[in-house]
This record gives sequence, C-alpha cells and structure tokens, in this order.
Amino acid sequence: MRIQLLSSLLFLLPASVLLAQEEGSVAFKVGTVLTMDGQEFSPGTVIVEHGRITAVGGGDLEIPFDVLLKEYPDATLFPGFSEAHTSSGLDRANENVPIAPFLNVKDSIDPVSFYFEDELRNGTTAIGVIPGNNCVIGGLGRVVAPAGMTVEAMTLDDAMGMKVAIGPKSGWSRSAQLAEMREAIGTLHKDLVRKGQDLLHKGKVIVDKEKADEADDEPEDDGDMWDLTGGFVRYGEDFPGKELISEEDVDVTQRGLVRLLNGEERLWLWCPTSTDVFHGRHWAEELGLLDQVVFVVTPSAWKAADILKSSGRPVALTGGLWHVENDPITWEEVRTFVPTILHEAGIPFSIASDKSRMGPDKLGYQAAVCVREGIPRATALAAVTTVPALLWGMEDRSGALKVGADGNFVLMDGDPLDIGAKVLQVWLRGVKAYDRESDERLQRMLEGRSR
Amino acid sequence: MLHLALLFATPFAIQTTPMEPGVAKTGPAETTPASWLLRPDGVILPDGTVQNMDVLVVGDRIQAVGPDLESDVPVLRLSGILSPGFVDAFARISSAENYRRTTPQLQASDGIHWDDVDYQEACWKAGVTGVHWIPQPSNVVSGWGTFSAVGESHVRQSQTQAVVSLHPTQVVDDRLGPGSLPGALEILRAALPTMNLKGTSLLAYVDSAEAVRSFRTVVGNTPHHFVVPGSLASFGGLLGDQLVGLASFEGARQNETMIRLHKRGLRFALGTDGSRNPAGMRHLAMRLSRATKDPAAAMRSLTSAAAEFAGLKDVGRVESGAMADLTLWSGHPLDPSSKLKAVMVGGKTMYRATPVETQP
Amino acid sequence: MIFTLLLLSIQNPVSVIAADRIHLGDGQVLGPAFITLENGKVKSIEEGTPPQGAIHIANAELTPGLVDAYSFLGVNIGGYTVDESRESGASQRLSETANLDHEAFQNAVRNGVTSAFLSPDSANVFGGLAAFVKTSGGDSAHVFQKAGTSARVLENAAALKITLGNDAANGNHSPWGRPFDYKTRRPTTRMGTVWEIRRQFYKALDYKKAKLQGDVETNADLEVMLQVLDGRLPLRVQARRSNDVQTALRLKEEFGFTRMVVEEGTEAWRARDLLAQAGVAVVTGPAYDDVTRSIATGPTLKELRALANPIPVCCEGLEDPTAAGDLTVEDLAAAGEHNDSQGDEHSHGHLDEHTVAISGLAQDLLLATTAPRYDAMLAGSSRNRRGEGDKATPAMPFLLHQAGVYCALGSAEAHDSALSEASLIHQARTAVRWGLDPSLALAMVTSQAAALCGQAGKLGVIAKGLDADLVLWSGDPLAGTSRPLLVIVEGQIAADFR
Repeated sequence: MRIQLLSSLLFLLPASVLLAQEEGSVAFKVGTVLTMDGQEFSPGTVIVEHGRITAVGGGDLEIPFDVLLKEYPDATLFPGFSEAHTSSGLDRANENVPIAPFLNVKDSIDPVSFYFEDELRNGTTAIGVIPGNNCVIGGLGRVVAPAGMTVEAMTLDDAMGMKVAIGPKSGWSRSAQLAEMREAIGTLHKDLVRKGQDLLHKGKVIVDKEKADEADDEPEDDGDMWDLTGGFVRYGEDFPGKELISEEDVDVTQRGLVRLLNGEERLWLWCPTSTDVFHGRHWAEELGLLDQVVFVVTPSAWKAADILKSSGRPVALTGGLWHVENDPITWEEVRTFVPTILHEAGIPFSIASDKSRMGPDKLGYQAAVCVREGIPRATALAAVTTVPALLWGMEDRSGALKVGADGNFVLMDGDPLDIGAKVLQVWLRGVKAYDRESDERLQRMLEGRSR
Repeated sequence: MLHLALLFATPFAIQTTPMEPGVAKTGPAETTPASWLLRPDGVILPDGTVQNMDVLVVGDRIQAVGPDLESDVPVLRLSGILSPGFVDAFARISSAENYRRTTPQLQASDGIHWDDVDYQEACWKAGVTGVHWIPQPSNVVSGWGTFSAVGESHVRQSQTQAVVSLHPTQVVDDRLGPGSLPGALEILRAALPTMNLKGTSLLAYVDSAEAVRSFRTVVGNTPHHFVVPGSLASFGGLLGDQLVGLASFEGARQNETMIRLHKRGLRFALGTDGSRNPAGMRHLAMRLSRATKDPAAAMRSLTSAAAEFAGLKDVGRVESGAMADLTLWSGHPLDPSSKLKAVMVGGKTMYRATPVETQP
Repeated sequence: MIFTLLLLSIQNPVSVIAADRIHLGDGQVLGPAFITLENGKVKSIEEGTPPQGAIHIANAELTPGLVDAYSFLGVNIGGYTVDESRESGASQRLSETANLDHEAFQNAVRNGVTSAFLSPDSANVFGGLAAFVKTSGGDSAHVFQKAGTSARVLENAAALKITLGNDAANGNHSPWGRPFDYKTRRPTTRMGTVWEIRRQFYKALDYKKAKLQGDVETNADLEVMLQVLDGRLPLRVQARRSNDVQTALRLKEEFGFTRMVVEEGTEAWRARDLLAQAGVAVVTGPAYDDVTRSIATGPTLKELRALANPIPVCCEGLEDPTAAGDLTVEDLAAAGEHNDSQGDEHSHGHLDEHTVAISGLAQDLLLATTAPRYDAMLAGSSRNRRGEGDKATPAMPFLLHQAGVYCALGSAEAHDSALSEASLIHQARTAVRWGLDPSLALAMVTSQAAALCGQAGKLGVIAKGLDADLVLWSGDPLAGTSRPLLVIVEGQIAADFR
C-alpha cells in the first residue's frame, strides 16, 4: 500500500527526470499481449520489476504484491517499434572529415529534439542513432530510447557499432571512396609499423616530463614495461613490435579504426545500390570482417539479393520499400516491392520510416504496407521489432516481451498495424514515459485549438 | 543518235562513244534550253523505289519518264542512280523578328542570302537541290515560307506555307507574352481568321500532346503539317498517318519511337530546321531507313514528301512536268558508300564531284 | 455483331462483380451482394449469391470509384497551363493544356481514383476554367502507352478558379532594379490579389450593363465571370491561411457567389464556424500525418526558407543526390541562419540577392532529394505552400465536419510520384485516424467529393443507371493493410492487381 502510494507519487514527476535514475516496477493486464516472441496472449499480463520484464503470460498470471497493477482490458500491449538505423536526432548527420572513426553520436544527440518527442508519441521504444551516410567511416552509434533529459539517460546500448560507407560520399566517385578507405588503412598500418619499431628499439615512450625526469639515465628496456598494456592491435600480419602497441600508443583519431579492423565493432555498411553491395561484401571479406557486417541498403539493392543471401548477414532496408525503374525505351514502369524479395530469400531485414515520399511513413504504417503487399504479418512485425534488436545484438533485451528483456513497451487501443489504432501509453524501463491524455500538442491538434 | 557533246556543255561524265578528233560539235546554243535524254542505271521514282527508266529533260523541266524512251535529243548514258535532288523541307533563315507577337507579313524570301556560295556548295555536296526557307518560329504566327533552288538566284515560289508555333520555348516572350501554351493558343485563335491562307497549309511547331490536341481544336479543318522534335513519343500516338516535318532524332528510345510511328503510317519530311547542315538530312534518312527497314519511305522523306510538306508540286519528283533538279549517285543514295557524282538544277549542271583518279 | 463482340473482348469489360461488402458511397453498406453491369453503367444491385461467372474474391469489399475533388493531375507546377502574361486568364481552359497522358493518371487509377477534378495552377489570380475528367479510357497520345489509359475529359468548364494568398503574386515585381517584363506589375501582395479579383468582377458587372445597353465587343474572360456571378458556373477559391478563408467569405458576401467552394483550406479549421455559418464547403488538400507540420510546432519559417535556399553545409559539393537525403531540417536550419531573406512576403522559393549562391542545379537536387515534390516537412516548397498555412492539423476533416462544414478530401499533387502513399484512400484513412467517422471518410472521397465537383447523383455512388466506376479492395478499404484489387472505369477494367 505504502509502496503503491509512493509509486503513484513518483508518477506525478516528469517522466524524463525519472528516467535518469529510475527503473520501475509495474504490472499490466490487458486485452492482448503481442510478445513478438512467438506468443500472443488474450487476455495477457506483463510484469516488470526494477526495469526488467520478469514474467509474461495470460490473464491468470500472478502479480507480486509489491508491484503496481494497471488494467486495460481493451488495449493491446506490444514491445513498441524499433528504428534500426537513423541519423535523425543528431545535430548534423555527418562531419566533413571522410575518415572519422573517432566520432560518437553521444556527442551529437539532442535529447530535446522534436524527433524524439514525435517518435515516442508514435510508439517507438528504441532507436539506433548512428552517423549519416555522407562519409567513408562515419563514427560510432548507439541505441537510445526516445525519452530522457541526457544522452546517458536515453541510452539503451552504447555498442551499436561503426558506420562505414561503401556508397560514395556526396560528390565523390566510387573509386575515390574505396581509395580513401584503403589509404586510411594503409596509413594506419604504416603508423603502427613505425610505432612498433619505435617501441622495440627506443624503449619506453616518454609520456610526460616528470616521468622523464624521474627516469633512470640508463637506456630503457621497454619490453617488460609495456607487456601488460600492449596487444591492442589484433588484426593483420605480424610486424616487429606489434604486440607492444597499446591503445594509448595509437593516435586518438586512429584507435577506432584499429578496433574496427580487429573485428571489435559491428559494421553498419552503407551499400545503397546493388553495385555497392558487391563491393561492400568484397571489402569486408578481404579484411575478414564479414561477420561484423549489417548491410544498410536502399530498395535499389534488391538486385543483389543473392549476394546478400550468400553473405549470411542481415539487412537494414532504408529509404523506402518500393523500387521503381523505367524501361529505357518504353518507359514502362517496373515496380518491385523489396521486402518481398528479401523475405523470399530468407534474409532477416528491418524496415525504416521513410520521408522520401508523400504520405504517412512511420514504422507501424510501413509494416502495414508490407502486409498489404503480401508479406506475412509475423515478418512485417519482426521487421520493426525483433530484427532491429538482432541487428543491434540486443535480442535478449529488446524487440520482444520476454523474461529478462528491458521493460519497454507500448499500450495501444488496437492492433499495431491498424492505421486507426492510437498509442495510449509508452513505458520505458517500467516507468511511464508517455501518456496520450497528457500529450498537450496532440490534444491541441485534435481539438483544433490554436493555443 | 549520239551527239558528241563538248565537255563544258555536258552535264555528266559520259561518253559511251569517244569524241572524234577534230570534230567538235557544240551542244544546243546557250540561248535555247538544252535537252537531254538521261539513261542512268536506275531512277528514284516519286514512290521512293528505284526503277530502270529514262528521263527526258527539256530545258529546265522533265518532259518524260519511262523505260526506253525514244527521242532525238542527245542520250547520256549515266553510270549510277539518278535521284530527284533532295528538298530541304524546312530551313530557318537566320534572323528572328521578336518585336511583335505575330508577324504574318514576314516572308522568308526577304531574308535569303543569295550570295552564300559556301552554303550552296554544302547543299550540292549533300545532294540537296532545293531549300524551303521558313522564318524563325519565334512567334505564334511567324510568317511565310519560300522555296528556292540551290544555285538559282531567284525565288521559285514565295509564300509557300505559313509557319506557326505552339512550342512554348520558342514563342514565350518575357515582355509581350505569351507566357505559355494557353496564351499562345489565344493568340492563334485571334490571328487565324485574319490570315489569308489561299489554300496553303500551316506548318506548326509542336512539342506536346496538349499542343497537338489544342491546335486541332483551334484550327479545325485548316490544312496543316506538324513540325516535330525527335522526342515525339509523348504525342506521336495522336498523329496517325499525317505528314510531319522532322530534323533530328537520336537515342534508342527515339529510334524505337520512329519504328512504331512508321508502323502506324506516319510520314516524314526531312529538313535541316536551324542546323544549317544539309549533309545531316541524308544521314537522317539513312538512319530512318535502317530503323524502319523501309528505304522507299526514307527516300520519299527526302524528296516527294519533303516537297509536299512545303506545298510544292513540281520538285522532289522525277516525273513529267517536274523541274529538272536531279542528282546522280554512284549507287543508291541511302547506301553510305554511294558517292554523289553530279548535281543538276533547273536543267543546268551546278556541281560535279572531282573524278577519282584511277591507276593507269 | 461479331465485330462488336471482338471489340468488347479487346476492351475487357466486366459483367457481374460480387463482394462480401458493398459500400454504396452514401453511407449505406450492403452485403453480400453483386452488381450487374451493362454498357458501362450499373444495371442492377442485388443481394445474395452471385451468378456463375461473376468476379468474386473472398473478403473483398467494393466501393464506388474514388472521386478526387481537388487534384493537379497532369497540371505542371507554375505557368505551363496558365498563361502568366496576365493575371486574369479566366477563359483559359485547363482541359486544353493539361497533360492527359501524364503517368499521374495511372498512379491515380492504381490507387482507386476513377474520376478527378483538375484544378488550374495557382500561378495566376484567375487560373481559368477547371476540367473534370475520368482518369482512364482516353485515347493515348503516347506511343509507348497502352491504348485507352489516358484521361478523358468530361467537363471543359467545371468551375472558375481563383487563388487567394501569395501564390499568384509570386514572381510579380516592382520595376526597380529588375528588367521590365510582363511580371512587372501588381499584385505583389495578398491584398493586391484581392484587389485584382474585385476589379475584374466589377469589370464584369460593368460589361453586363454595357451589353444590355448596346453593342459591346465580346470579352471571353468577362463572359466567364458573368457565368460565375449568375450562378451558372461554380467558383473554386484556393485559400490556405485562415485569413484567406475569411477573405473568401467576404468576397462571397460582396458578390453574392452562390456556388463557391474553398480549395485546400490548410487553416480552414480555424475559421470553421464562419464557414459553417456561410454554408461554404471545403475541399481539403493532402493531410499531413506528421505532427511536425501541426499547429504544435513544425519547421519555422526560417527553417523553411533555409530548406529552399540552402547554402552548402560543408566544403564538399552537394551534387550527389544519394547522400543529400541525410540532411535533416536541423542541418538546414543551421545553414539557414546564414540566410538573410527579406521577409515573409518576399520569400518565394527563388534565390534572392542576399543568399549565398548555391548552384541552381544543386538547389534543385537538394529539394528533390530531401523532399521530392512533396514532403511533410517541406510542404511549402511545392506549389509555394511555404509560409502559407503552416498551421495544419490532420484532424481537419473531423473538425470541419464537427462544426457542420460540408467537406471532401482532395489529393492535390499526391499522384505525381509513383511511390506516393498520400492518395485519396490514404487521405481517408488518415482522416479516420484523426477522429473522422469511417463511413463519412468514405463519403468524403466518393459521394461528397462528386457533389463538390458538380457531379452529384452522377458519380461517387453505386446506383442503378449510373456509370460503373468501381473499386474492389482486398479488405476494408479504410484499413492500412488493404489494397485495390480491381479498378473499373465505366465497366472496363482499368487496373488489375488480383
């Protein structure tokens, strides 16, 4: 009782303040629970304790005594939509510098951006924010929830991966793009070889004057000193001194590239067209990095479906669902619905919201379009829930309502694919982050109020 | 009946019998028209086909065409194919009159450069013997066309056809208007009743289906021919089996367009328009012939159809009564390896290709 | 007889079509039922099991062919179909200059739209005479197009169009510092536009008097205006901002227009009570299902100006369209801070003197990629919506209906792109999402739309004796997961997606 009172007091405070520290506990009994985990419960119950889901089941599931119970017998509960890959919410999508493995979206995400407010309103619970496509190596991304006053509060996972673009930067040619990449890797290699030699022959690197002054006058023997922190470079052929190189030895602008080449970063490989898929796969294989790759494609890449399939890697489909081209002579339109191609090839794919054309474009709508065009409902829903989680490496935490997952979910008054269904509430880590009834902006629009 | 003709008076490289030494027989006196019975390997007829015919030229006209003609004029056995000189169906004179929205009084004949010998020679070398000059189509009603033969210093026919344009890029005028097609239509509507067409046709520059449809609404039964761009796929379906003026087309899509339109019966009249490149006409006809696989139609587009487009009945045809504007080719004119041998305009030799030196 | 049969078989007509639910267009729903067609008309509607040979697909639902009450199908933006050399081209006919073979008509058919009102462009104060067309069945001018897939004009003079607001004044300029051309004229402001309208209508009234008194040279433009004043021709008024809507109502009162309809009406919801009082109907433009464009917030004018007049955000060029799509409004707003535009009335989407030059090509590419033709965030760059009624709400049809305003939905240029998800049926779905009753939503794209095009009782409903314009949907037409299976125009199958 006391705890319930305390909990209800907590809900008077702005959700964003809560999210900074709070991981709540709540239980929902609703008309339907879509777990995205292969099960549907009607009626259903979801229990969240300390920010994580501890139980999912039917209407008869026992609720712990110290968890607040909320009942919505006509509503549907589901994990919420996931935007697998976007550069929205950033101050600017890309930096000028083509090779920028040192950039991180945590320095650019604007928590107050209207984008996040609107995503929350539409029932999105996880967004993979990553630098844009206008780069060669763009920087690191992270998975955030669209609520929180600080980037840290929003972050669900900071190891989303590195953005690498095979499709050329604006104004560049394809060969220039890959040449830049090779040059960066080549330069890195030269630098590392030189560093290795330095360490081997010159001994300890002087890190500050004091230490230098304290140092012995006799020539230093570096080997023992750096054994403990060396071994940062774990890719490629051996060269003298390789094992001695530590992270601090490598220039700060190149460390990200070393990690990338080591195979320690997921690679979001921007391959917009089918040609790019071919080159991207080749590039990744050459470096032995194919297992880290997520192919980020546009609809025109459907022609490379067999390359994608044989790579065994998943795909993030962005920039629309349809590919349209005209026969060069008759101008007859050939339209291809790309999710069908990917689905039939058995490639796991996520879809994205799409501002490149008129009309509604949010994730739920896009999934409904997939069903409209013949994709099975389960695949369409997976493309906006579990597959993004797969791409992020967060299958056990995000995308599905199962025990151990984050307590992130959305309450709707209808099926998520129903265009008329409204998002009633959004809960993140067991704490309410959005309530339609207190959505002032929305209410003003619905009521036709100017102020 | 072989008259020995002096080289200077002889139109073509001939002589099936050697000249008797010492016997010089002049041709007919220069004051009286020369007459020749031309006997080439083949003649291009008005339907575009090649047939074995003789052509009787009297003065500046063709008097008769037929197999094995009998006549007491000198017979010239010609090696090669005789074609009507190509008619440039529409060639723009250089200046444009932009100070008014309509210039119905403007006549192309007033703008011809009679002393442009370079252009004359370029026409002859390209096998072109007649040019239908038209005013620049920079106004909705641009004025009257005129026809002159290449090398003659007078107009053969003035006020051939009236040129109008519904091509927005041509007629739009920032100061006077019109701003676009609807404005041009209003101007045409108002101007048409005031034009005395005297049985001639309108030559109308169009570039879109809207232009074609609305033009037809405005002019009704007034005879007209359209001048079309190579990119006429968007409105070609409206043209049926009309005669249209064409100056160029390129690319696979335009090629395919020509093939389809030809199948529907569309007829072409080739012209240089603004290019001032007479040699391009023959190349265009060759490409048309290759695409449509109909060389006769391609020949017509250079000759009889082109003349029809210009409203002329007595050029571009090898037939009795037509002007003797003829060209002699070493083979079929549409064969790229054929060379032009000689050009006759109005019964007079205007041009002869330098004979190729052969090994002795 | 044989020839007729052959003709029929080539043309692919339908004789009987059945569905589990048939929406008649006026709110009634029948089902299961079947419709018999003859000679392009509905012969009968009967409930029960259909006869042998009828087209019948499980779970499919039938609606009347959708009527687009406000569209720019085949109408290029700007002065292509209206002659801008004068502001009043009241007698110019859109039916003569619209591109009836445009692929937009095929996109419309694909989305179930069988007839459409073509509205003249807003480049002139008096845009001329609108056209009403069937979206299929016309002779194709295009060599590569399938026969009979072009639009077919039904009405040459469906309404007179006038435009309030900034659009028409756009491009007109004072004589200072610019070469003199036909755009050196008034109006250059909103009030100048209204002055031009008044001036012309008063001229028409004078012309009427002069005609009665004696011989007067026929003026085609003024004749059209007289028809409007007499109520023989409807008047369409494009008004986006709420003050423009109010101006329209004022003009109605002044001249006594009896058949006036407000077009687009982006902020009509703000004047909904006035509209209801005056009994004026509204055909809405495409809705923004994006809160970004709502009254709540949205790109600021600064951002919108920046979007149309961007400076390069970095040293690299912006020539490559594939990458520019990543630029967000925030990017460009930041760039736009460097812009020094003159002010609201003069920011017209072309570069002004103060803008740092970016090549026209790059700007076009930027606009084309960040907002091809029409984008919720940029819905000002297309057809000059910028700065005009950016206070939109997708709940407008609901709000208008609630206030008692007769309303229909229109798609404007939504069909220009092959990938559009903003066609009429999507407008109806969006309206339902934002509160409108589903049967009303369907009526607003069928019977009510037809009524606002002067086709009441002729189109937009399935009834005996009317044209057989029908759409068979794979499910509930208002569900996002439904698509058209068959689109039938006057008894002929115009699109088949079974």
